[in-house]
Amino acid sequence: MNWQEFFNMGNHGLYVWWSYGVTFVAIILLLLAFSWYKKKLLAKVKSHAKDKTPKARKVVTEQITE
Amino acid sequence: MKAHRKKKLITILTALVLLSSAVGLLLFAIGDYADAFYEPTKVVNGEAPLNKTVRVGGLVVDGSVNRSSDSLYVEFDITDNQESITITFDKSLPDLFREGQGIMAEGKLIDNKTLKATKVLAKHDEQYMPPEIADTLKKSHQDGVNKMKDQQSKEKGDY
Amino acid sequence: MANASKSFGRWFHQLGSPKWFYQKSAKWLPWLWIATAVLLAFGLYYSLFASPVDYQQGNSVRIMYIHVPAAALSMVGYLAMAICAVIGMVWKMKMSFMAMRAIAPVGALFTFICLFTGSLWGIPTWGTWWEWDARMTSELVLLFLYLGFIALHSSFNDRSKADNAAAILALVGAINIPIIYGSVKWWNTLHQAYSVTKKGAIAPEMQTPLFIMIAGFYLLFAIMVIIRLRLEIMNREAKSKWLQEVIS
Repeated sequence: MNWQEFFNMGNHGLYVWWSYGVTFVAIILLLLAFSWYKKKLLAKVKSHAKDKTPKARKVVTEQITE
Repeated sequence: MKAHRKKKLITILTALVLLSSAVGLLLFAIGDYADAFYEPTKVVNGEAPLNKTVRVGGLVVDGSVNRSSDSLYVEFDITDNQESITITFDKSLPDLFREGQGIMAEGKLIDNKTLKATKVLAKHDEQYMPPEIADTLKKSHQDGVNKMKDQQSKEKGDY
Repeated sequence: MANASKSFGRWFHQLGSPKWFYQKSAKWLPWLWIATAVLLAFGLYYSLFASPVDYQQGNSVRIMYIHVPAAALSMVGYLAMAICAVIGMVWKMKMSFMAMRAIAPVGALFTFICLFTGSLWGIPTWGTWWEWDARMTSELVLLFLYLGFIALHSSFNDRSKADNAAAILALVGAINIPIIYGSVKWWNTLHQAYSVTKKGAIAPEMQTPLFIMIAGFYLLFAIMVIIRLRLEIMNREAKSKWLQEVIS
């Protein structure tokens, strides 16, 4: 079997490769959406960490300077 | 389990049972209307409306396919193993179309024996196998049939 | 017996703790990724190269190896969401509602994959990409249920109201699952009947890659839900000290 035949898949290549391709891309896109959301949430958690008691603030600043 | 939780769980379960029976009744009432197509028996019995777009489905009868020599026009019978009706069609058939294959045709019923189709779709069955195995199965089936025929003719000869 | 129920109780209790889950799941994820990658690598090799073509459909049968696992998970995912809804409503378990919310986008993704690959498979085999038969219509309804759940949940400002309203939708919508499953049996459809559960319907050399892909998709589904659930924990526990300490 050569590559040409493999990609052509007996004239069904278009359907097979689009199925696998779109599945792959859709999964990646959702994972990317998750990582984009994570960035937002990290900022949210950190902003909450800042407006805490002076003691908590001290802990945070110490870690930032490290 | 605490009393208030038990009560809530029972409430949810009761609601679910009621809801499912409501949906069950609804589905029961919909019944055949949710069928994608009529079987030939129903068409022959006059349950499908004439001169309205309907869909019928069944197996293509072996040896019933008549292709026109100068156009795409084709005639074939489909059956549900009880009754059969004739389908006429003048466009190209799907790849999976063959004798013995399940198909679904959409079009208008001219009478309760003939459908003039505007669309023919192949219905795939739930069997999946490589071609070699299909060939072997076919061959062994054929062998079996031949063997039986031999047996029968032998038996006939004996008596 | 008492011991078993005790350890189950402890496990249930731990699973109910966002902190415990957040910390533990970070350790599970790499292993889950490795297992998934191995399964999917094998599965893809089998389904694209090493498995035979179908005697009728030729190469387009290869779409089955993603269509069937995606379809299975679209339904299993919704059932899991409905179970989380019951646990959340009855036992007031925070984590359960969080898990419910985490499943929704992943379930919607797998439903979309199921519908999309099914349509592409339909063109060469049936001669059409869509037909309003009972199976296809009920699967489309499932996609709308997932999307409706997400929309409903995000339409409330009050989180506990959002959880409860969405949980009711998850429960009511669960009725669609037996309908999807039964549709090919109760009505005649363009879609074929059960193959996976019917013995001998799928040749063994096609069944092996199919089962590997199903296992791989289950793990992938679990990974994506865990990732989303960790985000949900971050979102809801943003003010708690343990999380702020873990993150900084």
